[in-house]
Amino acid sequence: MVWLLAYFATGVAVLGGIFIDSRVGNSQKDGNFRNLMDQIRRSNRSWFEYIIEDVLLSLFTAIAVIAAWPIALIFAIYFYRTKHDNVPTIQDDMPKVFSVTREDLLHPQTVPQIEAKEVIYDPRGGVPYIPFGHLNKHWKTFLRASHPEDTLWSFESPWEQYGKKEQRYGYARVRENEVIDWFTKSIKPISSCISSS
Amino acid sequence: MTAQVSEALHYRGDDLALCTEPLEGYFALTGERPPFEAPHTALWRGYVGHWEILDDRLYLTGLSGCGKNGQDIGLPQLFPDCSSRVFAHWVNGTLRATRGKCLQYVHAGFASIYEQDVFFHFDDGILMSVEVIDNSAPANAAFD
Repeated sequence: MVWLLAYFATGVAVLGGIFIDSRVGNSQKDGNFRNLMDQIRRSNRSWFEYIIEDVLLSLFTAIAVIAAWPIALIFAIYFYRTKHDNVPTIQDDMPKVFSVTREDLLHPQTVPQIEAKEVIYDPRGGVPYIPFGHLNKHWKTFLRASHPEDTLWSFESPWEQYGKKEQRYGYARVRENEVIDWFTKSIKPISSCISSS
Repeated sequence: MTAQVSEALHYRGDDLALCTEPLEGYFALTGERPPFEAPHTALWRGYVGHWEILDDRLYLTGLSGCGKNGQDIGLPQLFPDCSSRVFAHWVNGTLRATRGKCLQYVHAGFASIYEQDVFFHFDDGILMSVEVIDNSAPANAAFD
């Protein structure tokens, strides 16, 4: 009997340790984007989901840990080590920033060549008959930053953010074999609706 | 997020609710977004665009935007070169519009379900194909 009590008492201690570790971990993740999304999800739960997740599931877990604490302890040690090996950095949560690399470059072209083939025409006059149409102002701004030694290259670059895959097209400015900046002329989604909320 | 006011699309005599925001693609390309202000929680983007598909081309024919201090932002402010009809050559991909009665209201974005979903597939502002999905039909109709 004494041994049984000692076994369950150890189980309660293990449960307490796991609980404290989990609370400390959560408080360190408060500014974390994924944690924020989880908080939003939790705040939108129905009372039924609340009872299932926060009451019944917690109760079941506590009983399971006390009853089979050696297994729970092995899992806890394993997850503790994994968690500390893969600590998310601030960069992991930051939105990615699109950039054109040398691998995305297609062909070098002159400004007259580009402007000749990029004129957009509309029979109803819905766009000025100029290179890149409604994007012409931004094209000109892009050109103004050119140096005499720069070359322009067409580019095609894949991009994915928040599960949306797309292909971006345009012209990149290359100086001393480095991509300096770029002008994006079109974005073509590879899947899903565009800008759908 | 509260259900959002849709864009308006005129297509072959029909007025559809456009549940995609084609102007956002233009803002993404230019890197500039006018200072729209949300007048209420059902219009976070701060504007409603009026669109038309004519001869398989997508045009922006009107814009009702709310700026700071209540100022109006319309087509002339955004596209001074073509203030009555703007060819949306920057639009690529699929635009979703809805038609008919609301079958199920969902209090989020454009998630409500209507009798029909109409998907318009565009390439550089040119309509390539149209696909209609009938949501009022039973889901397993295809297997009958």
